[in-house]
Amino acid sequence: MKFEIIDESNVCVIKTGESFDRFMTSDLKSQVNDLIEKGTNKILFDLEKTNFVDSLGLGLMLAISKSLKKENGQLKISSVTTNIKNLFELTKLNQYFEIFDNKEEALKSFK
Amino acid sequence: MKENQELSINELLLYNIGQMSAVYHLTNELINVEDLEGYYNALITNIPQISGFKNIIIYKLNNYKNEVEIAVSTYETVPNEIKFIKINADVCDPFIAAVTGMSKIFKKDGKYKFDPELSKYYESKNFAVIPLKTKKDVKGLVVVSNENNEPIDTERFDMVKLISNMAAFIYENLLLKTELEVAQAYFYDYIDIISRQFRLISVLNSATSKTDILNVLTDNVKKSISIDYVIIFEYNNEANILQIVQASDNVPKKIIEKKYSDISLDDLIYKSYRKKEIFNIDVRVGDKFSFYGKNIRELLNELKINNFVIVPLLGKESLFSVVFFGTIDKKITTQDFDELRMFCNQVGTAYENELLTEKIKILNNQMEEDLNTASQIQQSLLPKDLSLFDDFDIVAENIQTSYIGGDFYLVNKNTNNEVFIAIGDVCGHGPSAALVMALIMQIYNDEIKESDDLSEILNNVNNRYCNSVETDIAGFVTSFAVQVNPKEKFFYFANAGHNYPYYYNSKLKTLTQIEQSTFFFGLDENTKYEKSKIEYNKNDILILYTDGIVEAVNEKNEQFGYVRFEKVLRDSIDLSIDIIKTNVITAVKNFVKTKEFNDDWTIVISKF
Repeated sequence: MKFEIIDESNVCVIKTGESFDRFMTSDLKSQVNDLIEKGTNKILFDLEKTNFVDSLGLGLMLAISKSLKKENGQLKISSVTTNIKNLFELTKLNQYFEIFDNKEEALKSFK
Repeated sequence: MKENQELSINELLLYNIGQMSAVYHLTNELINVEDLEGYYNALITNIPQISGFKNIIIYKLNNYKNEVEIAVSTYETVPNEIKFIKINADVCDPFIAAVTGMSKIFKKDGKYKFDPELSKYYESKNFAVIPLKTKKDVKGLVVVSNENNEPIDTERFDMVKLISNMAAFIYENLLLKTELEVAQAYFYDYIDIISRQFRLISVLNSATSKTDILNVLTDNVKKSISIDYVIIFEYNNEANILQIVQASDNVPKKIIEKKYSDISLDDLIYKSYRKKEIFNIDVRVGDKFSFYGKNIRELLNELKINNFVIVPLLGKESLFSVVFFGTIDKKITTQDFDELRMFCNQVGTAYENELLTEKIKILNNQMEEDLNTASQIQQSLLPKDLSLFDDFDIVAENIQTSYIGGDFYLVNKNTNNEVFIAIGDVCGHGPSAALVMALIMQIYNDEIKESDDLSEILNNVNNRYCNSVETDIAGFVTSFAVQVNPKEKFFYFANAGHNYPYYYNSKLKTLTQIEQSTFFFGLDENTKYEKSKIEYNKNDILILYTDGIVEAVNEKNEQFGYVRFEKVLRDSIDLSIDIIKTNVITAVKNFVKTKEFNDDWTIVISKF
């Protein structure tokens, strides 16, 4: 599975596969852009199964986050593995994104 | 046994009517007839002998129009007025029943409705009308009468009915047999056409050029359908002429080299292709061929062509050429014509595909050339001669996955003789990343000239980058920058979201990562990049790299990773930095083996 998009409690939850990298970002980007155009403004990246995020994966999350901010929307992240946590720390994106331990907590936090 | 049985039936019939031998003779004759005329003739010859009726008229029936007309008769006295007239069966009472399959006896002076011409002839006669009835329809009518106009006796009338039914039955079977033979012939022809088409397709599939494809027409088609000459004309729009681009081997060179400017292409296509016209040389004199000019007439005369057709070679979107198929003796049939059109359709499609492939090849070559140039330009942006920094050694290597990539490094000196080193990675690779890389390098170089404070330089690079491009589209840039003061033996460093570099302390003999970072460029224009300071010892080593090294993936989808990277560094750390660099590159390449690299990768090593 490269990624899966589901709707939970009016939040668009994107579950990424083992790798969140350049081989899937363009597909995901076009699907998410469609959703945002149709009015989606709450997106949660659930990285529970993801061990690797490359620069394009990070870039995509940032681009989506910026687009959502313009629409008064929010992007949050949940269930990051140790590898990904290190990556967020390295890039300081842990200060930029709201990151939750698990999906349920993240879903509750959306207003 | 069979013969005995037949003899007994014969004897029985001879006993009843004494005429079976004539029936037998009729049967044999009917078996050998080839058409409806033969069938009528066999009946007219044999019915008088079998039935004793001497006056017989057989009418043929046009089932669609319900019209009757005399086919044959025994009467020498049948008047010309009725011999050649066609009568609607519905206007003659005696024929109405017969055309629906009923036999009937008519007595003289009966009050029947007749066609006026016929009434003169039939009114005073005793006669009977018997249909020649097959299962499917009525094939004709038999009218019998006696020579001396005696009344029709039912016994002989029944005999004619019997003979007519039997004859119709035999004839029907003959018809079916003929139909079957025709169907079989069509079937075999069809199989031939299909197999020729398949052969053509297989030859077309192995054709690798436009010439090969056209050769299929001039060679393969010529043999398949016995066409003497195949000539392919191409229309030159600019010069408004037709010229021969390919022809079968037997077309003389002087004909091929002529320009056919006096031929109207539209007329040719309209008359040949649209109207399915097969031209015959005999009728070419006169108005019909006025659109042919001198050269095309010479072509026809010189090659002694008597029949020809012209089929355009069409692709889905365009007309490529006009194909002329000519024969000396063989008549080109409609079936041949249809097959030639099928051939041309196949060839047209193959030809169009080949043209498209050629176009794509040209575009690809152009693109490859452009990318090669871009790659050279990009490589020229990266500093090559690192020997000018005599205070310490620097080596660098940049490897790109595409022709052009998003990794960069730069080494520069400011006015205070401080050395500025930066490495960076633009999110993504390919042309867009390359543009961003060139932009960032330009901004960096500008800012190094403007300021000698590392924090300020990075703040400004980020700010200018954020304001120069739409970062959502252009992507983000990670970078690690160092400002070395060789005189005081220290360096400042700042990290914009880049991989933590390795630092080897030669005194302590420790290899550690410099774990400090801030947001990467492009995220927020107001990001402040704090600088930190390290005082170095002689022979300390700083290793900057991009994620392409640690994220290189092998066939098992494993990453090269930090553990392997660190091991190579530790194993090589006492060697020259050039060898350290080579060992890293070799280790990554050996790890990845045949798998293609996903990302660009760069390494810059400094030894103080």
